[in-house]
Amino acid sequence: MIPQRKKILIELTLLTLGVGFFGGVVVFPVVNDISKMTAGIQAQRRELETLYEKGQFLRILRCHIAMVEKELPRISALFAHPDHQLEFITSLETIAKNNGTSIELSLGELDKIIATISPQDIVPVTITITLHGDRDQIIRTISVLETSRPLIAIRDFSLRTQDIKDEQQTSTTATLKATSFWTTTTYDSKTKTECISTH
Amino acid sequence: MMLTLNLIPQQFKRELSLHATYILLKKIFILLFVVLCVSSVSLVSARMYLKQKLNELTIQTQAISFKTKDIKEKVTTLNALLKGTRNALESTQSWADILTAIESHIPMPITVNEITLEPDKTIHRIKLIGTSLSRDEYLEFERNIKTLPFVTSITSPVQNILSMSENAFTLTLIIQPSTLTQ
Repeated sequence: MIPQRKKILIELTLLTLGVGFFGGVVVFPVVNDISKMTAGIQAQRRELETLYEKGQFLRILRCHIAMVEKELPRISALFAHPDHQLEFITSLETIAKNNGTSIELSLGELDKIIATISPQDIVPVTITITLHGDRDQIIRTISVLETSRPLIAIRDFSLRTQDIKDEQQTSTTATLKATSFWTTTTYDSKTKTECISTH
Repeated sequence: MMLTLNLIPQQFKRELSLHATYILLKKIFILLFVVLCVSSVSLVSARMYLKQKLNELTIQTQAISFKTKDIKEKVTTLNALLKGTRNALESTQSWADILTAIESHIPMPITVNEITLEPDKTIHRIKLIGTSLSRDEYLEFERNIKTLPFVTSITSPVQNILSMSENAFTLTLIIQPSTLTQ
């Protein structure tokens, strides 16, 4: 009977050792690894979600930029560029001529202001416009000036009407103090931003 | 009546009972061992699979990159441009329509020689200097001017109506900037 008991005890001991080995050396470290990897996968998933949201935000932002870019020529047309001073003066003279008035321009300190203009700045420059003609023509000229591009914002005005000597006509002189807006801002319009719709 | 004979010795009975317990324990341990073996294989396989997935995810995450530099530059430029545009447009007031409206309210016998705008942040003043042939015509003109929607009030010195006949007048129209934007 004793050898039989010994045999069973040895078998039990071996089995216990085997179970202990598998539990301690294989199962526990593997479970530990799996737990760490699960945490890693969750972290990666969160990061991917953040990246996805960032991507979505960038996609919407690109669409908004593309929308604004479409309007850029119209927006840019509001401002005069220092390299196109002659075109600016000519456009004002043309407006006056087309409306039957004569014009005198005083650009004030335009050159000095333009010399100090920094990129992306929109600088208001006060100019004085003197118009000669009859009152209707002058009002028409003012109306066209106000809707012209580059933008002219009239700050104050004075219209004086005088009788012309030896004639039964009147002559009106308008003195306008106006603001023109100057910028050197250049926008890279060649590389258009693409709007990729999800639909 | 049935008799139960207890012929097996007590010690041998205990041995048998212990042996049965050992056998049961052995079976439990064998079962546990088999379960552990199978679980270990499954767990090791699962670990390998998860490791592979984690590597794939890491590679995918690292592969995603956004070229935000050009977008940032564009947004900065556009913001500055739009801000400047808003400021420029907000500071712009159309005066031609107002001049046209005033002109249309000047009756024939009234002569306006000077129209001057005195702008201010809170209030605009348009000064009209002219002559009227009679007091009645001047008063009619004043009533007309008051009907203009943008005119909040007028300032008319008493000198304007001192004379019954031809008289020079100075009339100041008070305009609230808020009425112009409506």
